[in-house]
Amino acid sequence: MHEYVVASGIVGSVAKLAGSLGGRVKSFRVLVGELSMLDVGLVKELLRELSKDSPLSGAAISVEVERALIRCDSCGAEMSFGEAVEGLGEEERESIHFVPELVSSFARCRGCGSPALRVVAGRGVKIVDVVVTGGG
Amino acid sequence: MIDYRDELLERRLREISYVLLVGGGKGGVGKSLVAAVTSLLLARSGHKTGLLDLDLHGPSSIAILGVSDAPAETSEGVVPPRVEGVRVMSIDLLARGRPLPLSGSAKEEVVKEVLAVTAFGPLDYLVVDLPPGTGDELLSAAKYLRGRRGALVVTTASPLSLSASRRSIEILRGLGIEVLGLIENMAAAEGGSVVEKVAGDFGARFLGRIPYDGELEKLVGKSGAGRLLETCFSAALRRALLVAGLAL
Repeated sequence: MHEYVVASGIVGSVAKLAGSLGGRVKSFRVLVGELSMLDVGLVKELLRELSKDSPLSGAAISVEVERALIRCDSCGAEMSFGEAVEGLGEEERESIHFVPELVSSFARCRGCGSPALRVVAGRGVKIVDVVVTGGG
Repeated sequence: MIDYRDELLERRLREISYVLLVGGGKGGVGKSLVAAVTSLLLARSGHKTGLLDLDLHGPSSIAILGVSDAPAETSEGVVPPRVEGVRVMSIDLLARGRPLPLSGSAKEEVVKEVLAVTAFGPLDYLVVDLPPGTGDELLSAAKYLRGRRGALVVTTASPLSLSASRRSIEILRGLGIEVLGLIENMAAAEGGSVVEKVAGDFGARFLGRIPYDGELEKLVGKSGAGRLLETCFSAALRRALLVAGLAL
């Protein structure tokens, strides 16, 4: 259900931009960070549904996954999403799903065991390349 | 790049009539207890009230109020559990008692994320429990929790605490947050109040003193958070909040 909140926030944000420019949205891209563990297919479906009867209606929407990169501030080692969440349970994954920085509460550096983990990429959701047409 | 959370934050804030920050420069002066009992007092007076614990490194609201329920995921967002009429949100509900090592920029992300995903619903008051100091949590709260807002500054009579409170007041004012006044906690049973004397020097109103209450420790974290309202601490805090102008 977190996908619904995210999708409604995306549609509201893009609609506001289109409104401020007085035009309609031709296309935009959404980058979904791997750590957010959102269902990309569901996000796309919800974006289409929520875009109806809005300045986003008919827009070309691309939803892509942004790979996660987690760096250890103690030894500099880098971890992928899979390496960071390996062995974590359902509840821990769900917490990271809501607040990606919580990866540092549950995961440890595979190199040195440090909890000082920094999310470098793939944490949340970004809206990029919004193209608005017909604006003043 | 557009951050979709800005849109969600706007929606959330439209539903909150007043944000009451509870801070103070020093750790261990009782800010979290003041924040928790203030939220209970507001709820008991019929106000729709939320409590947000932004002490990311030492969250204690959950423990103080004995919260055991998990937040619920709904189509509106994460709905915090309710205790004695207060919706309580804390990073500890997600971190599940684990420590949260975070650097500066990550703290701002956490604060923004929590504010964006949490569906308190319509509130008359959102009470925010701030950590000691004037760091990222306070700066992020000031940045994202716009609208009608004010701050209570909690201190003890200790010179170290007073010095930290003076700095807090300066920063809060610099951030455009109204300082409702100073509350002296853990006050000695007898004698005049040093805090009352120095409040004027800080340009702040003295709201009142809360005597040290040895009974509190026995009630903290126990089921039935409402019993906290039966303490001398609660009675003294209520008087201070009335001086601050809260409708109790």
